[in-house]
Amino acid sequence: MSMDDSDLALVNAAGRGDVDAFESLVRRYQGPLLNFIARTLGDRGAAEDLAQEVFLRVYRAASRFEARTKVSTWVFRIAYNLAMTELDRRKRRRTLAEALHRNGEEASREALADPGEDREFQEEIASALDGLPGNQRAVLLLRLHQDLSYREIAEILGTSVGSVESLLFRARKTLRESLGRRKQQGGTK
Amino acid sequence: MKCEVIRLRLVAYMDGELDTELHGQFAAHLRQCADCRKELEALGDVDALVTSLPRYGPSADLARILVSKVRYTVAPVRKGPILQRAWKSLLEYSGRFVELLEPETRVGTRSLDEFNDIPDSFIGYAYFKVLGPQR
Repeated sequence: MSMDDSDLALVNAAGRGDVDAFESLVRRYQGPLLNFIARTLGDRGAAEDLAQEVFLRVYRAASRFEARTKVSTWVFRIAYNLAMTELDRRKRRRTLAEALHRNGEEASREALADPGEDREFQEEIASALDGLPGNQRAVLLLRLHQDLSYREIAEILGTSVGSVESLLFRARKTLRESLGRRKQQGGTK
Repeated sequence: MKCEVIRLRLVAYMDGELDTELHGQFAAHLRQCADCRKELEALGDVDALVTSLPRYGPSADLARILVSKVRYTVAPVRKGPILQRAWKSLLEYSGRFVELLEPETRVGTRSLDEFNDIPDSFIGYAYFKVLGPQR
């Protein structure tokens, strides 16, 4: 049984109320999904709550899932939509209090990094990634961290393959300029 | 092929998203154009940096919390049982049938808005909803 078939079997079983099947589905997707949400939001703390919401929606809608797309595409589409909604909400409600709170998150993110790695440099990359518009960041993560094809990403976003290519082009171009600038600033210090 | 055209679609080349013929043309151009090769390497460096970011993992009890939530509080949305769906269709059908036989009956029921919250499995559904003013 292929991964896709086994995903579908789990979703069908979860739709009939089989909690064990749902748990298997959660264990299968929780890692990649949480990483995708955390990196898209730039916020590890909020990612856990959002990931829970994604899985609860998957469970509620499992009985209505029609196998026109892959289960992974469906799950990531829910995650993408929720992450974009969350980013919009944050953008609208950005206040001084939230800015202070975000500073706190920056500190906690630093504390989460692996002490054996170059934390400062990784922070720079993460910060440059956070500077991208939400949809460009999400597309880049789906491509580079999930290794999805343009067609699969287009299905998740509900857009065309051409738009995906364009988003990836702009994301990489911006990141290249942004990281290049930081490198230059670092070199001139 | 011009460098400007190549650079616009370099990401698609890099991601292996071009068709075989176009991929070959890009590869041929890159073999002879140092500037475009440099551009490709720079984009590759960006990818390598993003890929090198550590992956965030879920907390150890995420699955446990979710299982507990669905076990005790959340139920999957199900289609209604077949008998209930058949009963609803029968009520709809009989309502339409009565309407055909006695079209004037409809006139007498036009003002019964207060019955709008009537359950759809109730026998009166056919009378109040199907023959009601909104239909």
